Amino acid sequence: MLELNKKEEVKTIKRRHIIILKLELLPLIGLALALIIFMIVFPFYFEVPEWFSVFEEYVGSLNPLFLIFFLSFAFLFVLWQIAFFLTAGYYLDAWIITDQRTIHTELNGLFSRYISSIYHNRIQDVSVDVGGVLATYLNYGNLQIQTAGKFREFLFKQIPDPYETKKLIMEVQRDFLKRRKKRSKKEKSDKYDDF
Amino acid sequence: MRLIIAVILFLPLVTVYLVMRFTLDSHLTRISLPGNFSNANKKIFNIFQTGGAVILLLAFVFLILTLI
Repeated sequence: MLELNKKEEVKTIKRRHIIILKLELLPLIGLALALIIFMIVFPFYFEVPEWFSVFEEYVGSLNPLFLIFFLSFAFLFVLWQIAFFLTAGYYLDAWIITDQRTIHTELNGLFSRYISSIYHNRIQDVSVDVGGVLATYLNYGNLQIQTAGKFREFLFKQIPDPYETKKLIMEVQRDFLKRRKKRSKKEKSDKYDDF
Repeated sequence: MRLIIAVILFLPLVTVYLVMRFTLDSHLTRISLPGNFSNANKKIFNIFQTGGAVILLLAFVFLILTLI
């Protein structure tokens, strides 16, 4: 479970821009609507095909209209589950900026999860990349953090307001470093006081 | 024979439903984001799970109607 440190304060939580999820869901919604229209219109024009009687010889009598409805609902169910998975991916892929560190959680497929975090003192560079007409118009893009650690890159994918986020990270980093400096100075002076 | 076909048709749907439900539930509890964000996520997840169950039930009803 994702847990924050004591006194750690969440500054913001970033996800991909909502338009990305909408664009991913659009074909599914189109297919589902087409299927629903098909289920409404189909019974009026339905005729039992000839090959169906051959099929019935093996299985016994079946209602072909209801079979079509069952298959349509089965397909609708699959579309629904794909939409569920995409939405879950959208909500569970998040970048959490706190006053101490940046945390990244990502759902890689259905059975794989990835969580990593970097403390703000390890950040070396923050760069923003806004590319494309839609990204420029809707103000979303990638934000990359270069770190000094093992994970050298930390990528915020297609987040809204990347420039504002960059500003926030820089501010939070400055405050974090100031606090650390103060604390280490205090620890040093406490040591000398002991002597 | 009819029962076997019914099971073959319906079992994959139930499996998909259960796998999606329990796997994403486990992800949701393990990556619970701080504050109100988790509650918002749970609401959306509940809508999807309930919707999935309703569609599955309708599919089941039509499967039974096909076989009767």
